[in-house]
Amino acid sequence: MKLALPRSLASPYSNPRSIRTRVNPGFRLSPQNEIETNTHYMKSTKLILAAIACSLALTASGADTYKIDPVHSSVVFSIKHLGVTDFYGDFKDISGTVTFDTADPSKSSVELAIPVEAIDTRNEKRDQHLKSPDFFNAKQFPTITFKSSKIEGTGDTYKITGDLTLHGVTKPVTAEFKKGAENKGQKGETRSGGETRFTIKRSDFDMKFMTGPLGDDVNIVLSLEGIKQ
Amino acid sequence: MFLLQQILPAAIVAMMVAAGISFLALWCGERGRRVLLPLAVGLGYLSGHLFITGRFGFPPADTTNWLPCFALAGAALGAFFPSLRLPAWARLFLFAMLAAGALRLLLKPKFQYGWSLGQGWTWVVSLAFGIVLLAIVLDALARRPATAVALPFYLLLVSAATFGVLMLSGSMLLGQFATVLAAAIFGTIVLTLRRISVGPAIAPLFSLLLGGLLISGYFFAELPAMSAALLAFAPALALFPSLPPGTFRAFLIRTALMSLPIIAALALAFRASPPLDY
Repeated sequence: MKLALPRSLASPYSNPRSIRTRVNPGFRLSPQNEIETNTHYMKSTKLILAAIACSLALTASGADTYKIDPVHSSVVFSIKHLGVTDFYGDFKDISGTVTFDTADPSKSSVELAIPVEAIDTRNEKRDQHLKSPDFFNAKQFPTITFKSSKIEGTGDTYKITGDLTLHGVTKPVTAEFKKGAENKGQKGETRSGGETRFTIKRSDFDMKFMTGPLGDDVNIVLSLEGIKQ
Repeated sequence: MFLLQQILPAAIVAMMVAAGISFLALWCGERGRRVLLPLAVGLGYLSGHLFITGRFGFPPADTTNWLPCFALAGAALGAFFPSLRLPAWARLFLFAMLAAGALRLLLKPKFQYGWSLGQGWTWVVSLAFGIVLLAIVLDALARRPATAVALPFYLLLVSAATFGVLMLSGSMLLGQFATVLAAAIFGTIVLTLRRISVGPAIAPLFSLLLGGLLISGYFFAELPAMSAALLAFAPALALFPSLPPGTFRAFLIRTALMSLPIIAALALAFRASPPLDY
């Protein structure tokens, strides 16, 4: 014996007609309405197929663009003081984009911009001095930029080479970037990122004031989180 | 102590170079001295500046590193102006062009990040006008020295005060550049051994360098505009017309008059100074 559920409890997906009614619920289907709804349904199906085709094409090229999330990204630096120990500082408001091609990492790119005004070493007087012409010269060179020129690697580790422009001087730097996991954010957005650690010499960027009391080597930790666009 | 270690070597280098060339000038005639004296200060400044900064790329990314080039251009102009036999207005025009070009290079970041083209050129032309006025004042001062040591002493006073206000503006580096200028001027005091005064040939170089330093302090550090203006204006007070010329008393009174805006400039810079005692 076939049990029939009351109409109100039956799954809306139990027959094709129910699916059709989802397109335009709230009224009974007349033959005329049914033709219109079928046409609408076909259009929607085409759109969905087109969207799937597009996303497949994008997946085939593997290039995902991530916009850097300044709230969850960090640029932390440390430098030796009087040869005693390192002190730490960071830059807020980092911005930029990362285009990541899973299939062919060499087609990936990274572009970052860091405002010098956003330096923070937990001491306002020191921050002000660091922004002066003695060090970063923030009024002449308000932004630190990085633009990748070559990315190679597989899996979760990539070697990124690019041009770092600091204090108005552009020099090539290479760093090993460890890719992190990909996950969903609170709004359902896809997030991914990673971290790299490298060392530069500030004298290479014509920042030579107080070399001696302040070390020449600057250790940098760059931790990036991007939102998939 | 660290400050002295940082400042003294470059100042000594600048002074030695300027003193060496000035010493050579002692054995030259009037024409030779006219060429050698601005070159002594120009090369003295150049060597001291390079001692501080080390080697840098050309064109320099940090526009304050154009200052040694300005020193050489100002020295060349001062040295060879008399041989050009141009009328005064043509010389002023040439110097104004040089000053405007120098300021355009020095203020390049402001053109890039802050000003519109119109705003930028308004600043450049106005500031170049100020530098030309300063050169006119220095030229007049050089033509009526109270004693042989008077002009280098006035220039030393102004550049030492520039060192003070720039240090207070939060940039020790700019302060060091001013020390180098003061040291190069100090090197020319060798000339007073034979009672020879630094002539007007030094005016283009000094006004260009002093202007460049004060303008850098205002635009790139925290130097108050009024401090910079008072320092640039200070030499004008030494032109006080009602003083008897050629006497030590005149020298003292002119020095006292010049000191007034200098003290005011230092006080203003001190009040606006960002603290560096961290």
